[in-house]
Amino acid sequence: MRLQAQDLGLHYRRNGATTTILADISFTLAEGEFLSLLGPSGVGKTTLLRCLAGLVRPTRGAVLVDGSPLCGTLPGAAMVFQDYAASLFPWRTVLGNVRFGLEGQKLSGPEREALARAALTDVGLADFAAHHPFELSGGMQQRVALARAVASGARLLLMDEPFASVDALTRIELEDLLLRLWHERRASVLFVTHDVEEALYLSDRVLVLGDRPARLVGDVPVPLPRPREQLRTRGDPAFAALRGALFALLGKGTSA
Amino acid sequence: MIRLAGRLLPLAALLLWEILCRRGVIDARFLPAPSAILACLGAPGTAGDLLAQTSRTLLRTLGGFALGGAAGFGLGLACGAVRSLDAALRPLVEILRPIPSVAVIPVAVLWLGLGNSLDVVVVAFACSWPVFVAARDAVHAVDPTLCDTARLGGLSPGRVFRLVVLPASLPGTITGLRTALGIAVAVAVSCEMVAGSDGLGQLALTASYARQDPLAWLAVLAMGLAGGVCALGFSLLTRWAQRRRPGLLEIQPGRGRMP
Repeated sequence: MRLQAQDLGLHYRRNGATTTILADISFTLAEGEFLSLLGPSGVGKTTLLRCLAGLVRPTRGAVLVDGSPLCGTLPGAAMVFQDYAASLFPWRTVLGNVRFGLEGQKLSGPEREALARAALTDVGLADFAAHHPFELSGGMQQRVALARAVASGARLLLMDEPFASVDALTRIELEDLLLRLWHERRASVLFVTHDVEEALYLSDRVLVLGDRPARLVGDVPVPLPRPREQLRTRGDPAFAALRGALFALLGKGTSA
Repeated sequence: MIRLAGRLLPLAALLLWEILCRRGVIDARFLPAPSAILACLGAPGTAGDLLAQTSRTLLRTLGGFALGGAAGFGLGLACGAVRSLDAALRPLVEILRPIPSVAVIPVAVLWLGLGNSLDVVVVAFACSWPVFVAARDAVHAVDPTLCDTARLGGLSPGRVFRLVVLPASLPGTITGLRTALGIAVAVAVSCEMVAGSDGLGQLALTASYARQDPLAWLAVLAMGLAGGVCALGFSLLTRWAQRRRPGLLEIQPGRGRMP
């Protein structure tokens, strides 16, 4: 699916004062593209993602899906949140959580079950289908959230700093798992992060968001070869050059 | 160990009470010994009467609890889910909620007369508020992340409510129900005292007027026991539910709200 943001703006009024959160944001996410939104914490990345998902209505501009304006929530999209524990249903088993992504679709029970089990196998949790989320580690819970997102057959994964609250080693595993799922399922990914290296390692292209209000300050293609490998890709001189460019765009390049 | 000690504590208290009475530390004219209280069960008809009055009180308690709990639950869910309804009803609710349940009796009598329905309605009135507030606030506190996930999955608002909001708000609502159950016993007994002709409340009152001290005490002990049995039943029910659906009644730690 091709997702287009056209002059997106969002502001709210409180006590007569207008606060602008998003200003004039325009970009296109191509079919099958892995696009990162990079910006400092609190800049409004999550709000932008919620606008694109149709969970928040922008006050200016429009979101276009394959050329036509979006009304309601974005069809064929699934979201993965940073707070994995808050996004999984504690009263459902792991399998039940993954199956939830399919409950809005017209499928028979066994079809749902099969798709959910396939997704669980894909993330390496086939043996934990009958467990409950609170019995799993943080990394495993985020795998369940990933499985739920891909099981629904989503054409677009909206990811809101999904790996920001797991430890470094788990994070590396999850990054590579995400790249594999993205490649196998041929979905598009819009990946929100505040981590420059993570954005570079994963993406085809990185959009840099500036501060208050959030606006685009850079659009950086990442021509690093795929498949990517943690050590090789991060050791590539081109990786270092791109990292410098992104830091400069974030205004953190020089020590003040 | 602690648990066993906790279970034995009521028995220990009874024993201490008995000893203090036998030693003459407590004057039996003011507080009869437990043995004297239990002894009046031996009088012909007393045990059967006590059982009958207890079951009447329990029936009113549970009837009112069921009625008020259901009303508070339904209205609380509705106000939790529909912000405008909550805003519209809030002033009315805040006026009605502080009215003491016993104060409702004089006006309720005008509609219902004396009898079981009066007690049940007054108990229901008292029970509905804690359940209402708990259910409403629990729905408000449902993590928006859960709802966003469901909405993006293409679920209709009705199914989001049934599959996400309802189960997610259940732990909070259960706390309200537990509070309401304790209130129910107290209100049922007060109703019987103020406007009843039978039940444990009336039994305690008449025995007291007739200076049948042990019988009055027996009725009071039976009230405590009735409340305890209700609480135990509720605990067993939630534990059973917890076993059937793990995670359902788990209280989720508070989380930051999405911007």
